[in-house]
Amino acid sequence: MLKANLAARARLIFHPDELNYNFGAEHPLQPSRIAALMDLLETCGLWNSGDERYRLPLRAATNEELGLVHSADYIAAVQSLSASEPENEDERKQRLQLALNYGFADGDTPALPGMHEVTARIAGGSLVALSAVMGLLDEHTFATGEERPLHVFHPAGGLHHAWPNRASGFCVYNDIAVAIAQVLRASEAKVLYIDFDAHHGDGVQRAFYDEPRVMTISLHETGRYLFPGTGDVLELGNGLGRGYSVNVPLEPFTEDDSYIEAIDALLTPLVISFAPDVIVSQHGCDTHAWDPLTHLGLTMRGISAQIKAAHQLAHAYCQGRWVALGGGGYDLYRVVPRAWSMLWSEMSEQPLPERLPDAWIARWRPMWESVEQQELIAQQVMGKSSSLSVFPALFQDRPEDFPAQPRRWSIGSANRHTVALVRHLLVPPSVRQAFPAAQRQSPLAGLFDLLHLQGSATPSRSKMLETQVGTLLLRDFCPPSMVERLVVDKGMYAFARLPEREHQLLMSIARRPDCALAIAHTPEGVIVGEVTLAPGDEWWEGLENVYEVAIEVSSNWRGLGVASQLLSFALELDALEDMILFALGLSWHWDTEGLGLNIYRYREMIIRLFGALGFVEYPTTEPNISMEPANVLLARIGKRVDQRAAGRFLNRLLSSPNISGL
Amino acid sequence: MIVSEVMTTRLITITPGDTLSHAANLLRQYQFHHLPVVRSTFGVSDTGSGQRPVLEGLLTSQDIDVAAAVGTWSSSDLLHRPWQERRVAEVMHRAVMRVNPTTSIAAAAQMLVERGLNCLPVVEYERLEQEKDSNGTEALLVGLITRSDLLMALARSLGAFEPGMQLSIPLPMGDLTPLAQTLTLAAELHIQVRSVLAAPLEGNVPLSATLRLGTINPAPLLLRLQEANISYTFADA
Repeated sequence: MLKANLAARARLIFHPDELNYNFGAEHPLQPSRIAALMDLLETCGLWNSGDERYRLPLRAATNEELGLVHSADYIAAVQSLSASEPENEDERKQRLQLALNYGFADGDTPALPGMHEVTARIAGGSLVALSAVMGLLDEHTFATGEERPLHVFHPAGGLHHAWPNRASGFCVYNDIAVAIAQVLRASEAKVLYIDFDAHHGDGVQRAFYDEPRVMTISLHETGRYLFPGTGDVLELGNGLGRGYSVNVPLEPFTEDDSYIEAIDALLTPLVISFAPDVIVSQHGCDTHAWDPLTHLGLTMRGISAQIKAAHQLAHAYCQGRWVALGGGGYDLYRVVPRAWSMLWSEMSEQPLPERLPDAWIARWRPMWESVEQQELIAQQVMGKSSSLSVFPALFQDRPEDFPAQPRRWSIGSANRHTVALVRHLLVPPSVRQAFPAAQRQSPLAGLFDLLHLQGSATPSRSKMLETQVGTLLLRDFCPPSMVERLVVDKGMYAFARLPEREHQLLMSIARRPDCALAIAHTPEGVIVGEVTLAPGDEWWEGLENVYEVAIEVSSNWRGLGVASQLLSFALELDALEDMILFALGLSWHWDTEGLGLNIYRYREMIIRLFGALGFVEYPTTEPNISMEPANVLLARIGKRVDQRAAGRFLNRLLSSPNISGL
Repeated sequence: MIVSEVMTTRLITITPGDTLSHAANLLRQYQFHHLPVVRSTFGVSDTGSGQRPVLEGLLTSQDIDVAAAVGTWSSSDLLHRPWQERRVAEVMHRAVMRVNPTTSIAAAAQMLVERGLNCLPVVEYERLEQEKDSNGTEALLVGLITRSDLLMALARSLGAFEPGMQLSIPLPMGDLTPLAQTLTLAAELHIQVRSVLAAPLEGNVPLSATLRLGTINPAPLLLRLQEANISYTFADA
């Protein structure tokens, strides 16, 4: 029944042994959910265990591979706890001590016979999935790049809570971290990890907290009440990895609209600024309103938006390389099979039927009915509003089954503030300018009119600049049509990391009426420098005539005075003295390697560059600046700026850094 | 908790004869603000013999700032030297406020706040061999306790570094029975307790307890709490 005309470049990894990841009948995580999923896929004709084109065999991860993330003593402990219960009293005591030391002593992740074998196999599945997509040599090699799968789905994977030396939250080995660590070892690729589970992806974040080649993005219910309690916005990464851990803690009872708004506002700018080679996404579907373990309130609409976003980003920015993993999801029969069938149908580009097959419902509805009462009670003790108890007949949810939250408005606005803070802290300025926050459409006239008070005749000025290396043309107020004809120099990567992305960014800035773009380009049409002028972002909300200046010069054109010439050219504005301009110097964007300077020398260089045009350093509590002593805020308050407006700006510089109060 | 459980013991120290430029370099290199000044003596004690650091004083980054400022302003000949060449002994302060390893955390916290200090040296007093007759004792430096150490101790004792979820149990009239019952139930269900906090914030009895539980699956416990008529606060709709 499979559509034969499809290019079979999506694969699904499943092995019946993975169903042995079973902590017992009373445990919320039941492997029968995977069985129900596989049954649904086969019944709908979306996947067939006999069809080689859509499957990928898996192997167990070796101890050496597990050791990329887990400590040797932990692996040894898991192996010894994997053996069956000893008879003798002394050994039993030792076993208990071992369980206590390594996180197996509680009801969440009890030690069970054979767990080393089954979790090593699951870790192996994710490892094979990522290696296949990345074209790394493995047991299973593909003859040509064409045959290599682009997308792989491994539903049993996604055990994101496991720590290097401890089991936690139903997870023994962290298959995600092991697979990513293997890619880091075997190639130079950068990996973007997106965690859609309702719980914070603490294990994966922990494994790569100081690793700049892995960006982890976790969207989850806030840890105020929910396990594991971590995942605050300010967990940004450490050392070289600062800025590569992204956390979006959402309010309890967040619903589809607010969730979709958050992923729309954040994912694309983050992917652009990081420029990954592959996307690994964890699709825990315990975000659904019916889930008995969390407080989020999504429906299939929100879950489908997650899946579509991951797929689209992989194609737009990673040449399609995408590995999707399972994860949490404790409404075993109503949510998990539907959510992950949707994922597979999106990945394999096969249409999903509207209705669930009757035969499948007949097989699995009784399973749900046997746990229905328990599920209802669990939802009620967790404080979820008692929803209708129905077994779905469709893949999509019916909106009438999900009554609106009474606090919808305040939940939405709290989430919006969280998203604004994440954007402010983690998205570089020029990328942020290309993706303006949705609600901030300035009703003012375009910046062009504002800056040309005297009504200059020519829309855009230009100027020649002779350098030792060659002639450059400087232009301001570049229209999109002009930017489109130019290309970007290879040395322009500070913000978007890849020249062609930088070009897209410049295009979107040129299209914005409230931004101004000045560029330096060669006569051959290669852009080697840019200065952007854009209204201050959320932190400066409510202030008038406050503009952020950002500058970049290609690494191939440094030391020629291009930066200072271009900056002074861009600021030759009629309205200059009516404006407050500021620039943020954030040490983590500085190309200190390229210039062979340390960050403090670089800082001095920036202060000199802007100082020549009347910019002065101001102390500030602005959260980006106060995070790192090398960071600097420079501002220039025009001579004709109203005293009160200037005062308000200076007050804002030192206002309390609580963005949610704005 | 006592000071020895949270103090820093791997210390970077300087001697009174070192120059301020050396001290400034150390502070910059290690990115902290306090340097204990010690003089090494060779001593014998119950714990063995060896080089023993005797605390002479404390040098802070602020002391160096002041020295640098005074160095440029003063016209007096005595001070008319670049600050970099001045000796630690000239600008350090004697650090008269000290604590012992067995001082309670609460006392140390109070001392830091009341005196507006950021750091206290931790010392043990020992009688010196050669001065036995004069009854002389000297302060051996064993550690340093800073405000950050206390904040980390607070976070750790709240269980903040362990994965877990949070639950509040109201304690009407300060009655601890609901808390005791909750803990019994948690033990029965094999749920790890990361921390229990029940301190009187207003009045003299605690009115609510905050528990941090090491589980991703609280429903079984919450169910038992409802059956036992124990109220709790969790995320509310």
